[in-house]
Amino acid sequence: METTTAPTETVGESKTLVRGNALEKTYGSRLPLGRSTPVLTGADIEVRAGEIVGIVGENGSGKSTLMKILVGVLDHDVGTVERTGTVGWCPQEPLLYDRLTVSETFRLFGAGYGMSREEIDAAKRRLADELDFERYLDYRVDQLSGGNRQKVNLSIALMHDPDVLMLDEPYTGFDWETYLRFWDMAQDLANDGTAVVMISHLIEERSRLDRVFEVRDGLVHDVTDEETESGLRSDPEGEHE
Amino acid sequence: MVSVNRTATAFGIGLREHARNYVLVALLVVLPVSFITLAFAVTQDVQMPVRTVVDGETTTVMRGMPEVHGVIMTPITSSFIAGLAGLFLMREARDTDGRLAVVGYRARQVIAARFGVLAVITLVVVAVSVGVMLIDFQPEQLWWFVAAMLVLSVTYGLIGMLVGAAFNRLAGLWIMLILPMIDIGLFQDPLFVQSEPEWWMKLFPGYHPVRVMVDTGLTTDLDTAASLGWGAGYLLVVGLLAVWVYYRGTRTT
Repeated sequence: METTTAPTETVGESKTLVRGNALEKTYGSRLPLGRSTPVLTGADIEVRAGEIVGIVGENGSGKSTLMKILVGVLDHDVGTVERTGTVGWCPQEPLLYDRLTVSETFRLFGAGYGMSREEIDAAKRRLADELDFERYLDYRVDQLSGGNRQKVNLSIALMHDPDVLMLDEPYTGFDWETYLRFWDMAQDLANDGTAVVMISHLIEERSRLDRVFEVRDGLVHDVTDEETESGLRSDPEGEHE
Repeated sequence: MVSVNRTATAFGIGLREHARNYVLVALLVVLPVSFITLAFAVTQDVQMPVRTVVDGETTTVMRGMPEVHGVIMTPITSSFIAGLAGLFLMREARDTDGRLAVVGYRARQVIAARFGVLAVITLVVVAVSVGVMLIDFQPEQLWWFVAAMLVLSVTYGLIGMLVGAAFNRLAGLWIMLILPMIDIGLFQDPLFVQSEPEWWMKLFPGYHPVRVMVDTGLTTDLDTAASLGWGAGYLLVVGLLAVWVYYRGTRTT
């Protein structure tokens, strides 16, 4: 297993910010005779600055596993990961501390990013305004609705203006206006050079993605110009309040 | 500077978060009164033979049963609450603390903050438990008694973290309820085990600290200083294990 943060080369006009080579991952069982589950068997992926990349695939195909490996929160068994610049990660399940207020959550994670108090406050105000949760800043996370919790989850990934943004179904629970605002934000970030990688299920989003990768049979296939085998859902029911 | 700022922020916010854990706060208020005060209230004041160490020899002295209960129920209470605090801390942190690593926290910063929070909680738990005990019972050598209480309570806090890494919340709760009870309240209780405990009973975390507490709580001379050292050694081993398990469990870098 190898992970580096060395700069990678430029392809055309865009610099490659994340590259995973021949990634393999098998989930073992805790029990001696339990079953091991191979998820990735040699996946390759490359993400460049300023593009919005979609990762699709069936349930259990390994999309989230791939993203966690690229982010660095999960070990891979074989292969290499190269990352350049800062990373923002929005996990599928909000990984937040329930008994902290939204403001305290910004402070905790902002300190981790190395931001000053002023920078944290500015980012908090900007994101709360853009995603419309200013009135909940003093609420505890466990007092928020699912949608507002997800807004905070996304904001933590965005607050330090990362070079690479990794989003695992970031819009779950968003209302329609927030969903559209989110896409505007993602497009603005990409225009400013941020690489946005997103696990996605919705067919409406396909036109917004520069490239689409499908995780299938443990490998990553570039399906930008073709229909994916699993298909993207056309019915966003349940995704938006 | 950034490192100190990160550790201080995670520590301060972590303390605030745990102060809002109403289950823990309720236990801190209810348990010392119900375990320690009630034990004194319902125990008959009769003289009982108690095993302890005098001049290096294990011997039996006669002491009032409420005093012995005070020596035993106080560490049970603090160990139970500290163990639960460690359990809660590990259960709640193991997923989310991994995200702290992604945003830039180093392992040593998160570990310092989390173990610092556990240390503060344990100090409060020991202070409350000893404070409630002092209403009814004054140990002969208070500060040695408190030192043994601290060693035992921190050890149980760390054991709670280890249990939290291996078991879910409910299973962990049961384990941390039963373990101090059978360790301190049965195997190390000189009223139950009147001769020297069996070798396997000595492997439990309560063996050395409770020897010190019985000695310093009920006699005027310190004859168990070595046991305090052994207890501190036990604490060190459990602490190193807890740091390793925490590091592995949260995947901080």
